[in-house]
Amino acid sequence: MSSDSTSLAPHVTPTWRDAFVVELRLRDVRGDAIGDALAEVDAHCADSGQDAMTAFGDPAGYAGGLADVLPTHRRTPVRDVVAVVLQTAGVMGTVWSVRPWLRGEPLTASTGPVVTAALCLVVAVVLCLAPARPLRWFARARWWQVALAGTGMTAVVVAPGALLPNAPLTAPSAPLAAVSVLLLAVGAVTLFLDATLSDEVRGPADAPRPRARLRAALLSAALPAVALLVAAALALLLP
Amino acid sequence: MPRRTPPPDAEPLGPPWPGEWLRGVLSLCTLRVLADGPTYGYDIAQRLADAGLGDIKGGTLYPLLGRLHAAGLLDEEWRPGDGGPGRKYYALTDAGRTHLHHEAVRWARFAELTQTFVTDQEAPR
Repeated sequence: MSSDSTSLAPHVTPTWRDAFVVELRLRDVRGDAIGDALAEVDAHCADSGQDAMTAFGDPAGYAGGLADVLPTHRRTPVRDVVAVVLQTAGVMGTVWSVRPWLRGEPLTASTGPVVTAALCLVVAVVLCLAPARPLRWFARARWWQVALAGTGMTAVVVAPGALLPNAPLTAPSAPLAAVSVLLLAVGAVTLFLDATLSDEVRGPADAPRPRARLRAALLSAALPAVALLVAAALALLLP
Repeated sequence: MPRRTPPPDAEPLGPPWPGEWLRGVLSLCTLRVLADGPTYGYDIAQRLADAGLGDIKGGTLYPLLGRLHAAGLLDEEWRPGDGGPGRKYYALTDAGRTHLHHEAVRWARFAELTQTFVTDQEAPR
């Protein structure tokens, strides 16, 4: 969601506006179309003196009635999954393999963490392919419900690391580090090419922001940068 | 743009028209409002209310305008407001005008048929 929607719809309460924007986002409606619809709600509220809830009813219901005729993003599930898998595998591979590689040692890991890593990949793919219904639940849930769901999911992912018998696996660290960094780079490029990253909510009179591409590039590069920093910190700080 | 005077037996004398009746005629009535010239959503709602159709909610009107636009019957254009926010104006396309004329004739036949049928003298069998 963009902060621009605040100035887009001054006559609409933030709660109504946010629920409306989230619902249209979940339905893959393009940012400019969302801004257009929001500006029309705002104009109607300004003209009629009614608040959005009175004039348009429930924001999600109104968004649902409107979404069928609004332009949407073409869904690219295969590319999305590839980007997520590459990024996740790249992050885990980099964090694990840079330290032993710098020390000239092979990478050793026990079965548990490897299973955990595989589960992380599965969770990433599931979140990526998840239909709108569970995502909608997350968007509306209270903070403690989200915290509970997040903790549960983390426990399931981390449990194998603690429970599975410790059978050490070894792998050469240099090729693994090289492949992981490459995966990070490819994942970042795939993410950057995804048009939704620079698709901000903007009103009918607003031109696209000149810095939108730059922001999308920075956002795409953020995860690889954090992964490399963590890997470097592990290599330098751990004994 | 001249405003049509509401018919004498229109709102607020009776209860609101049933939603299922309105669903049948609302797109035709909206096209008819726009036959008088381009205007924006809230004004369309006002004119429909003035015509006696009752209070048409934004949640009903704007999705309908969107569908008519998607069907190629309407053009949309944002115009800056004087001081306030801009407004999106809707205008009939040629296809919209043709559609209105055809459907208005058919609607008149349908309404006449329905009226004759439902108000006909009851004849017990």
